[in-house]
Amino acid sequence: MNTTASPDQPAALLQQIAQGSVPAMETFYHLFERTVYRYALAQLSNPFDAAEVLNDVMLDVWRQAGRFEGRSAVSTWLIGMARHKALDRLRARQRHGGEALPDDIEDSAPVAEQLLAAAQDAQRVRDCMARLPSVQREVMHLAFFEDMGYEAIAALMQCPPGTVKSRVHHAKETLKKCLNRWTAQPA
Amino acid sequence: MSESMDRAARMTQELPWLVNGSLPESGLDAQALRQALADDPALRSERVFLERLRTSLQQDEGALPGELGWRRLQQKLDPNSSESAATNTWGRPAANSRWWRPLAIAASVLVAVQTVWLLNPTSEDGSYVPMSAPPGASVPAAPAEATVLQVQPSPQATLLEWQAVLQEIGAQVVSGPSASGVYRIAVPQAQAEQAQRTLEQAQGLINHVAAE
Repeated sequence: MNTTASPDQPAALLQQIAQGSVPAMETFYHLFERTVYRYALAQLSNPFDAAEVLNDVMLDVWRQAGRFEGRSAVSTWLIGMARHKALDRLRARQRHGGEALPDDIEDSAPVAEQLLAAAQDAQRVRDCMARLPSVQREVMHLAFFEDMGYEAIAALMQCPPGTVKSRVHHAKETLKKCLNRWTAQPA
Repeated sequence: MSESMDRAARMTQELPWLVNGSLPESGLDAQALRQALADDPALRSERVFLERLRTSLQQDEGALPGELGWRRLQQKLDPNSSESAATNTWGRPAANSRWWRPLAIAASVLVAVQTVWLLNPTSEDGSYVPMSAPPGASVPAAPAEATVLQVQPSPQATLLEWQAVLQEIGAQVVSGPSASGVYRIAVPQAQAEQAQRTLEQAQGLINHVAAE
């Protein structure tokens, strides 16, 4: 990678990309590959589709780098693009009888020790995340993987901040219910 | 709902943003939340739960497309299509630029094989459930119960088309692609003949199929 921009200067990289610099694009790709791919994977639960979304987003970056206006973090801009592409794929799945999007609302319950232990099991947490409705999976990923604030998430998802908080709450309760099922199963 | 219950519910909704560090420490919400945490053991347990959840979610989930993904993209980076080089080339890549697809398939299959163990729930008996099988489908747990087919996808096949074929026949990629673009896929023994017929009839998507 032969670019003069340091990895902590994504906006500078975008300027170079807009001028046609492939080395800058390579640096940018490796810098943000994880952010875009993980988001897409969390949304789509399918590595084929996630790789496609990553490729499509990065191709858009190559073509549209000059359009980045700096009004949000670069990672938020990228996730916004990935979101549109992931939603298109989710809609296509639904048209073909795929994933339903229930929006169960669970009552909050005290957190038991067993549940605290289950939350440390990354594989179980991932399994339960994969079972969440996509809209809940998305806010959980943005809140706990990307560590985004609720206002930034609300801007990205184009909904009120209160809706983001509510979705995170419901997603958390659904996750608890799922993890509790694991803890209830005999070893 | 009583005032104290209202307050507890509000504090619970604010907790995720304290845990992920996005709640401004100087804000009123953060101060009220810290006071509530000091007063309420249930809220403290909730915080521990969220912290552990966050730690689990941030753990590595397996391979990224990495260098293969970059090489795939690189083939499409026509300098003439960058914004500064030409303002009139915003359209899709040329229709005949499909030669990258075998590489794309290779990259995605590699990622899929590495990731599938982590993404898919295990079945009740602990056997492996591949991504390409429909939910609830029976899949051989050991190679002895499976038939292995050699398949060479057409360079014109898209990732989605290749994936759809695999899903249709409930196949699991065993290895590949070879230098000539051949994959070895496992299908349940009882469905092997039907799977082979399906692949042979997938005109335009599969160049070659044969049982081992």
